Amino acid sequence: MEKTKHIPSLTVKHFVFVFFIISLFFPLIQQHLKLIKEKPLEGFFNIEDYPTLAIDKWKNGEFQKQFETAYNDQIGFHDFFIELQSQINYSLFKISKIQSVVVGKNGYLYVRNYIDAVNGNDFMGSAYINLQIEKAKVVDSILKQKNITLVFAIAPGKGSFFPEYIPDAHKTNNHPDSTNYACYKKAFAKSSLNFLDLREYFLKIKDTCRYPLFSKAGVHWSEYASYIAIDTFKNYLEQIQKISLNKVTIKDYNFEFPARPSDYDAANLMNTFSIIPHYKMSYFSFKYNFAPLSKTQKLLVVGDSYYSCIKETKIPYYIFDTVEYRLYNKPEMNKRNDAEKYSTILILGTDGTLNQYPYNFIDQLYEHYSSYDQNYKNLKLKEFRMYTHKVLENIEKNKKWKNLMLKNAKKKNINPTEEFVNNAIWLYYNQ
Amino acid sequence: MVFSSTLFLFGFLPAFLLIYYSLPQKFKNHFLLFASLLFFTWGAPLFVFFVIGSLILDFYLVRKMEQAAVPKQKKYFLLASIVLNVGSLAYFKYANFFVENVNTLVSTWGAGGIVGWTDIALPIGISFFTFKKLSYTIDVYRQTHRSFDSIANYFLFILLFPELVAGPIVRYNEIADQIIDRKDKETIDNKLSGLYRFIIGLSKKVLIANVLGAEADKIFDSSFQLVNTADAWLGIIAYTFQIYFDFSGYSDMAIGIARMLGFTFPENFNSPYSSQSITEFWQRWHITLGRWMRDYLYIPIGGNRVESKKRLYFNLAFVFFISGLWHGASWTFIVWGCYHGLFLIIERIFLNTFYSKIGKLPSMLITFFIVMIGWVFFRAEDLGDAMLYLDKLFVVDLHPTYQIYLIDFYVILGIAVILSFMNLLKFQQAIEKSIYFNFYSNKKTLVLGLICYTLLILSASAMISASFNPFIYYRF
Repeated sequence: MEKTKHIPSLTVKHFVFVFFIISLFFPLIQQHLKLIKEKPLEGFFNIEDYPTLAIDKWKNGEFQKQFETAYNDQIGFHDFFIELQSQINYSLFKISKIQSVVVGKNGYLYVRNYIDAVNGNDFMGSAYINLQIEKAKVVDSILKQKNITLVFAIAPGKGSFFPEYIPDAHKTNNHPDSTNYACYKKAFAKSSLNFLDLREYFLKIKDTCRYPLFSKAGVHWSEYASYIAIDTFKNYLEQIQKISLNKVTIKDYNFEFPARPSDYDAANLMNTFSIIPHYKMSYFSFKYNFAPLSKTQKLLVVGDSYYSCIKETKIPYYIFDTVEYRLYNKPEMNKRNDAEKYSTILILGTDGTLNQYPYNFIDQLYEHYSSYDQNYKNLKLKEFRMYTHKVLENIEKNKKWKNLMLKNAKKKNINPTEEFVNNAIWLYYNQ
Repeated sequence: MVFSSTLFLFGFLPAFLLIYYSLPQKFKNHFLLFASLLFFTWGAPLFVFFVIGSLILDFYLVRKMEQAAVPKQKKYFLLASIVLNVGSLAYFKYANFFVENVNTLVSTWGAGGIVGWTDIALPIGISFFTFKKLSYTIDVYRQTHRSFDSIANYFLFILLFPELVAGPIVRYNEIADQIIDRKDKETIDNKLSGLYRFIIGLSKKVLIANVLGAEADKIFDSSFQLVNTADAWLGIIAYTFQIYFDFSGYSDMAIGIARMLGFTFPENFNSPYSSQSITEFWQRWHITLGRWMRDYLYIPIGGNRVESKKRLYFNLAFVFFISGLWHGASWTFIVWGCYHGLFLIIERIFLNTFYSKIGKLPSMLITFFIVMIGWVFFRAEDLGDAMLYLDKLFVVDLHPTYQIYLIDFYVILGIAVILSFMNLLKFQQAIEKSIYFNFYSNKKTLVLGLICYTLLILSASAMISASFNPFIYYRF
């Protein structure tokens, strides 16, 4: 009797134990046999390769480290496990552990650097920004003599457009006026430079717009916002150049759900199983009214990814004769000193990249033109940039120095970054 | 290779278990030793040759000691073995620290002549296996247990991979017989409860400790000027529970794997944060270290049975100084050890009387507070940082925070607090006993199986996705 009781008990336990052990082999089996088709992950990420065995690498542990990373990256169900983790984070806590994505109130998604910009965490300080404006003035005055129009534009990032949905935990702006945007706006207002404040304009029309200017689950502005932006720029140009450019109007539109990938890219990056809730987005076809232009219009745009959205609409190619786009963070901006080929140069920035504004382009043109202008020649831009960069690096490395800077920033009630940059500038001029 | 890595969980462990269970009994120890050597070599490739050499030497020293007829001779061999082991530990773990301090002193006095030195890499698990080697020598010397006949068994005892990296510190007399023969213990009940214990430990490490650790690291690694008082308290609370779930989770994994192989390892943690004194804390925290220190250091230097109280206090202070030093070659660990030693002395002077007057709950809260403040020294990079951090804790600084805490951190912290103090409720003790120590009915096997399977998948998911951080657009 006791025996008959004992056997089934053992059978269940054996079955469960064996099932667990086999389960531990599942990922390895899947890795090699690919029995179940997995949905590939969205976004760009590195998958470590298995290292080749070398004695030196083995001795210093580099081989083992790389092998373990490769094993983790290439294991079967890797993508499933990541999606599961993402889904749990989103469903249970309404958060994203993907470093760059922040889940805001009401499910609005943000990319972190746009929130940092609103918080002023990347504020470069007024000394640095005024220096950029001074350089821009030199470049602008020279370009003007060559009949080239230089326009600076700042567009809203998603953080500044939807500040109301930024999660409270991320609202760490202790100095509301110390943002790159606020400082540039003030500096542009004081100068005679052409400045188009798209951010202010978009916030003005935000509540009255017929179609969404930003999506809930995307990083950038919508197709409609791109249209409004390029149309506003066109009108601005017509006004300052006293010319007439080709007109583009909306022909037709439709609402789509789910939104197209361009309006769902932040959500895609989260890699959840389920669709992240968002609203319908509008997509357009445009009508183009061509008329011969009085003068050949060649446009050069230097901008961040927000201009890519405008480029996608293809509208600029109907307004201007030629359009060239240079991404803001490329090292060679003024290649072959060809800026003078264009009739108009637009430098378009958004919150997230304003800490690098007006990008290498103005720096390089300034360097090129500084020989024309004796007043600014002594700035020795190249050395200045290298020096300040070095100082910033040293501050980061030296905990005592960094602590002192942070203490000073606290005393002066300014952001730490501003204090670092000011310190670097001061050292440059005084050492 | 740590237990909470993909390579271990989905590579080493299943492959090892499959082969181990398939082998006839007589080959099992050979394979276990091979796997342990592989595990060790993976983490410390160069050091393995030194370890093998020192194990061979130590094995024969202890054998000679056992065979020696004259007590004096025995003592010489004992001394030789202790010098070999403590000397190796001192060289590999403390030489850098020693030279660094000598150089600091020399440069402070302006005497010049700084000692030239190439930093020595710290081999994994050296503190743990040195204590095991000493336990072997001393247990054989004390005739608590006979030495191993076979050197392979000695190698296996020292290098047994489940406890190699972070303990528990299993003493020789506890495990010697199991190394030689544990056939009767290789039951399905032990395998299953070992597996469940391993998964529970993995979950404690991955799902709780790692989440708390990420937040604690953010605070401890940031410039303290950016940390306000609330951040500082949150940081040390997070670390207090991180270290418990991390270490006890690792111990659970070690105990679990060992049980799957038929070993019975001693328990290493017993709800330490509910202790009502520091003395009790050390009976519940890293129990195997506490027992090792008691049996091989505290009692030999006199323990409690000394004539004067001064001597007793010295003994306590000395043991905790050594305990601090054992945890790491840094002044922060030494101060941490002395801090605990100091409270043990104070408890004996008057605090225990005070505790008995104020009752259990206040005693527990005071003890928890003392332990938590002690962790500042344990976690800080150096004493300067520790003092700055204490300043942040106790001198109110209300500047706005730069830290961002996500909701999952608070939820996990809440769970950690509940789990840490749940032993105050009787039903929790019953649950723990039922999971860890009792045999399972079929129903319990299935219910626990389902829970553990879920925990396994969640842990794997957290482990694998920990390093995943994609960019939206590569070119931007």
